[in-house]
Amino acid sequence: MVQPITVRLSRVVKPLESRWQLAALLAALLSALAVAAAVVWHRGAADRSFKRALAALDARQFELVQRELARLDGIAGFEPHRHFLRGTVLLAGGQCFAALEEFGRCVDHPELRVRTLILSGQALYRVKRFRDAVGLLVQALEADPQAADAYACLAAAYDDLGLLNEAFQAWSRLAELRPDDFYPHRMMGLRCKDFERWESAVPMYQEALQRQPPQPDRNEILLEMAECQIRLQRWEEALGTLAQCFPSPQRWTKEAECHLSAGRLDEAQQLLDRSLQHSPVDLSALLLAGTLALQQGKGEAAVAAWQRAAIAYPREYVVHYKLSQAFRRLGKEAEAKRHADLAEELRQVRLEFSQLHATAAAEPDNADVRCRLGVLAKQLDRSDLARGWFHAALSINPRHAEALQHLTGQARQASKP
Amino acid sequence: MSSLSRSRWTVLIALVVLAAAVVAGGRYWSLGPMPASQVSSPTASTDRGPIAPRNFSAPASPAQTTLTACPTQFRDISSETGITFQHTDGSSGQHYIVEAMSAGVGTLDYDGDGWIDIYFPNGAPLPGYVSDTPPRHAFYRNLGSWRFKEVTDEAGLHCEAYGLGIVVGDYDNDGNPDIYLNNFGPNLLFRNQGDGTFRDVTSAAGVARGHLVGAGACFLDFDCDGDLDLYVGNYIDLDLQSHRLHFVGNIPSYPSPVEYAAVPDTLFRNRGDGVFADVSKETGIAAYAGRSMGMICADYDADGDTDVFICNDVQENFLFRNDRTQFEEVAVASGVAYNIEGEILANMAVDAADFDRDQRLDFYTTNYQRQMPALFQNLGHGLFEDVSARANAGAGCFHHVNWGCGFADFDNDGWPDLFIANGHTEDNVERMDRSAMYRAPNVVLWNAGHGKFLQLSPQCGDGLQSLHVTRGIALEDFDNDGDIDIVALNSRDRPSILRNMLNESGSKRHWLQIQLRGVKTNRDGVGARVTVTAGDLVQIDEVHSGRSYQGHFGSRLHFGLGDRTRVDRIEVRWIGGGTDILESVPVDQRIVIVESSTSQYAAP
Repeated sequence: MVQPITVRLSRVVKPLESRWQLAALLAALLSALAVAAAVVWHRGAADRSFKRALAALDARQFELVQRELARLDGIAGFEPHRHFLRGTVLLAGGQCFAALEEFGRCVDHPELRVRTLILSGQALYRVKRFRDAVGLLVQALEADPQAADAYACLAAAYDDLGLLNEAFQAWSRLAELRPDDFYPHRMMGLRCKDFERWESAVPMYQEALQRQPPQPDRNEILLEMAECQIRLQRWEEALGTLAQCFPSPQRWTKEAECHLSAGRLDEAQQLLDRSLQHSPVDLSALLLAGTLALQQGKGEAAVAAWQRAAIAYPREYVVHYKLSQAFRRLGKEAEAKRHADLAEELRQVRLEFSQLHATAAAEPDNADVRCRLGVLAKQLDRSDLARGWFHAALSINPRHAEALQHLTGQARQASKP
Repeated sequence: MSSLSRSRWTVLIALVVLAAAVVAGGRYWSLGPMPASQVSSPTASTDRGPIAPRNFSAPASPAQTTLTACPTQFRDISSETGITFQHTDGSSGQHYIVEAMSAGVGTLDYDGDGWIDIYFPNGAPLPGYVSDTPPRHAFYRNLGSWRFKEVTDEAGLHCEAYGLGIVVGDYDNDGNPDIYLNNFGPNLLFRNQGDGTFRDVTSAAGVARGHLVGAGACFLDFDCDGDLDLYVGNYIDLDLQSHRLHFVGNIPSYPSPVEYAAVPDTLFRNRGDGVFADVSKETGIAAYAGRSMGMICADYDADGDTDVFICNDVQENFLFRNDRTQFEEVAVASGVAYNIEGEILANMAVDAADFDRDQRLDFYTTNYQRQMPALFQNLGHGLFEDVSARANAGAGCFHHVNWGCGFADFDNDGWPDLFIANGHTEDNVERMDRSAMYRAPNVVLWNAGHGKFLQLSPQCGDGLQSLHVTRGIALEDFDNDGDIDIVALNSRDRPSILRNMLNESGSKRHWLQIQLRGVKTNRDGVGARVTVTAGDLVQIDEVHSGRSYQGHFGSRLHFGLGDRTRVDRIEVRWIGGGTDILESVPVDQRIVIVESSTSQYAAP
């Protein structure tokens, strides 16, 4: 049988001996309610503060972030959020290792986990620990397969590890997730171009252009696309693309190549002259100038152009190959032999360099191969590439002595006045 | 991203040279000026001074410069010829590298009736291949009027070897062309007995070689002693037992050639008694390991002896300069080892002709997908320049794997045109690369006469529209009507027989076909150079034995003459012999020129 509520209440209060006792009980109850309300309100405010901090981070307004961080200070249950924000600010300030420490204290928070993994991946990528970055980014994607930021960083990390197929797949997925973003298509176009799939690269670049890339990206995309069209021998189409580029030595050289290939030698000559006037040691322009000179029957002028290139790019194979051929035609056997000698040496380095790329792609954990690629890149006078490969080696084995030694040496070299 | 600029550069390099073979270093240091004493031809020069580059200023007739429509049509008459040969590569999904290589095609007039006959090499069962009827080679006798009859068995040419290369040459100078097959496994020499039958004389001749994967082969008289020696290309040393299946992603694919060690070719000297001696070492040939595919023997430096051009797969080409006792490898120094940028190509086939009519033999090589065929213009002085881009000599080929190629004046205008066979190695390439095709159209490039070739194939009749996976080709006048027709061996398919409809379309252009008959020199005039002068038109050609993609054709030289109604002069410079000159020769006929004779007679 159900008793009336007044009866039940009377049973509760029955033991109370006085009104004071009843009043105290009620006061306690009210206080508890007030505290609960305050906590709820406070948490809501903290949540809002955290969201404002995130928005400020996106807008790179770090003072605002600091202010919101201060508001979160001392709020129970928001320790992970504070670590996350501190880590993000540190990362934005380039303090990657400090950021990683902060991220390490919030990565287990369920709400922050995916973001923390992605940012940690980005931090690791920045400190060239590409393999570790990949590990965290893959974890992030397992938790959230739609995490576009993770794909963006993952693609770059794969690139730097020399895992080019994986990189292409990541760019491809990013293009699906960010249909309005030009960058993934641009990168896929670049990949196709790298693989000499000119005909596949052109539509990728066209897709990128349709997404209204800002300058200077748009100009770079147009130049890359024109290069593909030139390789496909679509001279007029390439000229149309180049017409949309900013006037620059790069553009003029490519236009010259189109005119030369189409048999318009005078136009080619004018453009090349202009290009070399603005950029006297541009490799492409010098190579083309030599070719044009040869076609015009000016053997000595061809050699002169290529010799200028050889001075500016002493470790460039094609320059020495062309010089060896040109000197032979001029009957200068000793010079021809000297350049042929050098060309052959560089060919061997390039051969090993290219073969090791395949090895690197097949062996993601092989630090030695990456270090060797760095050494070869140095031999090809490409210290920028060398640095990348040494970092790749160290990202696999942070104690790789040879890679460390080369990097240190490069740093010393760079710091010399 | 920092990866942007870095990867662009590195990958480019990686792909350009990836899988390239180790270049034999320093071999060209020894190249010196050609001794003047070796230069015997009036067209050769002893001048080692500068060479004036040319810009194709040769005058061209209005008809050539205004070429916009296809000058002739090629009709596919394969189904009307009675040729039922079916090629098989013996495959079973294991993707043995040799499958994609089979095969060249050879043509010869084996019975001397004046009609060009056709030999189709075939593949053979590889492990896992199952078929009720084992594949066999096929030999077709040309009955005239575009009818062919298979005579393989009655000619004694039954063969179930894994066929790759074929070459024809009268090695015993008995007036009957013999056949040499360069196989995967032991090679075969069939001696033509002159009674419509051949006999396998491999063992007695000592030219079997062994277990290697074969390639092209050439007969040449390298020592100018009057009989034909034999150059045998070797592709790789393939052990089927150690084969493992390759994949691109999860798609099965063929292994790269660079996974196999390169091997030297073999040069056999004809002792004159029916036996050949391996002289690879003493002549210098054995010092160079390559992955031979197509080849041609031609006197590129016009010094009166025959040199050897070898296409190597994913490796630099070889050019062996002959001094009649030894060969010097001069490809790098000559400018034919690589393309214009100094890059290694996957070289497949080569042919030689004077495409710019400067009295020098130029070379044309075909390559892999996304590589331009290379047109090596002979600059004289033993030097070449790759002019394919400015000559447009790769049009229609870039997207395909290119195989057999050949120069022939299809429209009889006096300028050698080009035929290029296409078709991928990977039968599933569309799954790997949407821009590629397994079956592809073949291409004719028209020589417009001013250093440019024009790609008009889509307008050139049904013979160039259908898609095939062509390998070997032969360019011959099969119906003896004065224009050059085409036979193409299609992998895993029936061959294509393409009839040139030039004369049927009412062409008024003239022509002359010349067959040589050596007396002191080799019987078929292999290596002899012929110069034909008709008014302002001066053309040269040579008799080549073995050419293009592992095949043989063109023993009878064909000269298109345009509207010239008389040939003023024919000069024949016999290999290692003298020179004969004939004057005032009527056009539109096939003639035989006998060595040491100033007259000619009509060919049968």
